[in-house]
Amino acid sequence: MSQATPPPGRDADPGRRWEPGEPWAPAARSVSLEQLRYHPTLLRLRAARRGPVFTGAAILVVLYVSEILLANEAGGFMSLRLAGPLNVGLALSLLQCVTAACAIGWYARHARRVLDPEAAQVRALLREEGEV
Amino acid sequence: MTAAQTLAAGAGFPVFVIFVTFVCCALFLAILVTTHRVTPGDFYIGDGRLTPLQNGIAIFGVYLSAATLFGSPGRIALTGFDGIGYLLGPIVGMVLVLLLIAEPYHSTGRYTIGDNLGRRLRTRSVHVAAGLATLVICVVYVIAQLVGAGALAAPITGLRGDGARALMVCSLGLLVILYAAIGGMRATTLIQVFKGVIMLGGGAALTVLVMSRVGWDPAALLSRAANHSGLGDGFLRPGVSHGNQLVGELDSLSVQLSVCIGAVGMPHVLMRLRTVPTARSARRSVEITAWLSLAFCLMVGVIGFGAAALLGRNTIVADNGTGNTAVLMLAESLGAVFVTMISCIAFTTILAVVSGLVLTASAALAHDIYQVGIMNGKASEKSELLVARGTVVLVGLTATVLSLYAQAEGISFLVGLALAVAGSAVLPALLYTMFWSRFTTRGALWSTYGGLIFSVLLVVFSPAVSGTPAALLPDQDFAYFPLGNPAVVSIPLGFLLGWLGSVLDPRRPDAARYAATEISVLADV
Repeated sequence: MSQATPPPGRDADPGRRWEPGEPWAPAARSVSLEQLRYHPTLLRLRAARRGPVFTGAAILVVLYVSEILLANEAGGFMSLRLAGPLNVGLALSLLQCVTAACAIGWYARHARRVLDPEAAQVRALLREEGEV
Repeated sequence: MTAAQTLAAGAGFPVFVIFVTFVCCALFLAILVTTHRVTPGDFYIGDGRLTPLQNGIAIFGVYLSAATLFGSPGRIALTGFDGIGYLLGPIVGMVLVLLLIAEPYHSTGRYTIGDNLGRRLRTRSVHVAAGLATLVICVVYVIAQLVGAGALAAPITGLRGDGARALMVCSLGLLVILYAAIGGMRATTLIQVFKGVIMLGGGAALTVLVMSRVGWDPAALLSRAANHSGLGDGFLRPGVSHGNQLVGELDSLSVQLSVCIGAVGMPHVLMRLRTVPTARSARRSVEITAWLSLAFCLMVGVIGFGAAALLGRNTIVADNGTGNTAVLMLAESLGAVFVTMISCIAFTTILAVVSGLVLTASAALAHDIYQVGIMNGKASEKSELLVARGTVVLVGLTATVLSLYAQAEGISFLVGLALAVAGSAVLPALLYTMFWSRFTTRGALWSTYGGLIFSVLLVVFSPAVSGTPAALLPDQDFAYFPLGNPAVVSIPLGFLLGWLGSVLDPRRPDAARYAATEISVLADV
């Protein structure tokens, strides 16, 4: 799959190529979109979409991997009995189900309360800009 | 006498009748839901008109395959604690899809993964790369599912032997081809929703029965499982499956990474995200899927420990060394009607998952490679649709023939390979495209081709293919890579290559197109 049209020098005008999603033509208002990136509403939305959500995802992955590593390297610790047949390893597995449930619930709420309203504001902003 | 033979004797005929009725209904519905004027958008994603509830159940139906239904409980019944990771992986994976993928993927995509990458990178080359990776993942995964289908021959048709298995694989393969080629995404959705519902119902029924046998006491379930396992408390501790060797530990880390991280990048799950109208409804679909997956995986845990508690580990091992028949044996011990139920669920599961995979592979071939790669976006909708239907037949036939050949071989590594490719060739490029401003086309190509090639090479040189008695080619030995699953190496490598390729790319990333992509990701425009 050789690239049929290696653009001379830098990337050629993106608007000239076939575009998968047509309605939002990037070339038409790319300058204003680039400026819009630093609009306060967008900065707020970006912070809300990235910071807490990436942190949540990272926590889930770290918990998951650390349980595997603990099971591999600290079998004695994982075998400590807590109550009846329940040991530390089984308790940690259950804990992961609980954190997963918390993450689903938290994100659904966060998206409804913070992300959706902010995104609606950005869309309103874009409509204004588009008319100007 | 193995469980399959017992089942064949007892429950063959009624299951076969149900099975035939079911197939006829399924085909009839496929024709019924097909609209008269079909476009590629209709064929690939049903024009994005589903509701979040339908789509959420359908994603659940396609996300958890026969491997979760049969493999995971079997593994828990055989290895106790070590098997639990196979359940936590899919749960965490689906939550990651919810947090990181669902909305941005919907708002930057169209039909395929190539569409997401092509929005801000050099369109043709990334479409072809993503299309090839998708194709490999889907074909490999389809083979694994269809080979598993051979094992259903005895419980469903009552016939035994290699011929019956081959017949089962062929008829399932042909059914999927007919189904997906005629009905496209609408028909596939229908079967996936149906499968999701009956799988939840069946899982719940088995869970309730198991819990009632142990007096509704989870502690009693665990204690009885440990006592009947012959391993005592060791059953509930880590280390049953691989002892204490470094290679075994790394291999288990690798497998568990692939079932969690790899599952996030599976193209047939991603494609379903576009079947709803807005990013918000994509998020609500995945929310539903995540809750259902969590609930079902908990049920599978109970079923797995229940199999160990009620049947005993030795009985299960004696029937099948991999534990894949544990659920069928448990169902049999609870009553013949449950064997019929489980067989139907298993058949529907394979039909649902395989038709989703074949449809995704045909979208990759017809849209990414034919429409964008070869025709540079100039092919008419009609010809793209024709190619899409043709490739359903092509991919389906190829996979069916390959699975007939693979019937007798040790091919359990194929699921791991598909997941490793998804995690190393698809996921890094997708995440970088949606969230990293400095990602470039070279980064995408390096991570996609690098992840794909390294995953395949590592598996070829692994003990799963040569050098061990259980391998694909037991007589030869070129197993230079010690692990059976490549994910622990290939997933970090895919992310590393994506970063390295972008940093070393002499071309600067296209700021204007990234700005547009980012606005899409953030605000769904």
